Amino acid sequence: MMKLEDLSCRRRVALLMDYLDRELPPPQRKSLAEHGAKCRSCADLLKSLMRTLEALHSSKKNAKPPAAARLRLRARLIGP
Amino acid sequence: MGAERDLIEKSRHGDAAAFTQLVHRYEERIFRLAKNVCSGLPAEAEDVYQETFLAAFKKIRGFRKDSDLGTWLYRIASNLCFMRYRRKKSEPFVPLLDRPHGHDDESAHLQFADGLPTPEESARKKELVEQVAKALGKLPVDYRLVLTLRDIEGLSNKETAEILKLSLTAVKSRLHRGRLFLRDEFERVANPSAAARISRK
Repeated sequence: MMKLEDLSCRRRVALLMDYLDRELPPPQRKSLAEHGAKCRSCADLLKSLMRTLEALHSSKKNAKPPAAARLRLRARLIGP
Repeated sequence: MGAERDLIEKSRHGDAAAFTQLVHRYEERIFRLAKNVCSGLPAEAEDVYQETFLAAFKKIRGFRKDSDLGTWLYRIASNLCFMRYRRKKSEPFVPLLDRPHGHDDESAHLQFADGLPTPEESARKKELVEQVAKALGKLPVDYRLVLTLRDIEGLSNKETAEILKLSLTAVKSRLHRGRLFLRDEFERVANPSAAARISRK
């Protein structure tokens, strides 16, 4: 793998996103983790992206349709 | 799955009671998608939720038996969201942030945190959910759809591409730019003075 320091920001961001999405093959994943242990800039970017994903994941909870909306839908499908 | 196929078959013949059982299986995820994409507009989210299932019942004869019902419903809901918002011209352009912002934390920890949340964490999560809704609302609808399907609903890039009829490259591009936009928004809320400093650079 090319050294991360030599990559453009855009490419580096794409690589970190692939790391987060577990789309990197194990050797690249390992190199990136090793790099992250010593490069503050990449580690900071990764951590802030992790916080972003954690926030997005939190939105998966508590999204039941309101009871009135559920009843309305059923009435429209079946009739009163 | 056998039971689901049976319900689909009955629904294809106009059995509304059978279709209602399918609604029961999928309504939470469809409402969640609508709620996140129609961010901050609960009445619109409810409209999308209702219209999705009414349209699906009308069109279920055309549903291919080898397809996935959840994916098909997501597609209907996504189209409804897209039609609803594409007319609104005021949605902002999302710049790609090329420069990572600095933080003070020295540790380089590369794993997700795990374990059950404490009450403090739960309160923080509620706050996070509100922040997400606010930040998502600032994005164009196609970005909101990709982020919601990928990072909230947990679908793969491939599934997201199929639902939105986009190429994988387009999905990844919107996903990366959307995440960076949200990250920047969250950092700005968490640390307004640093954000102001960065924006002046």
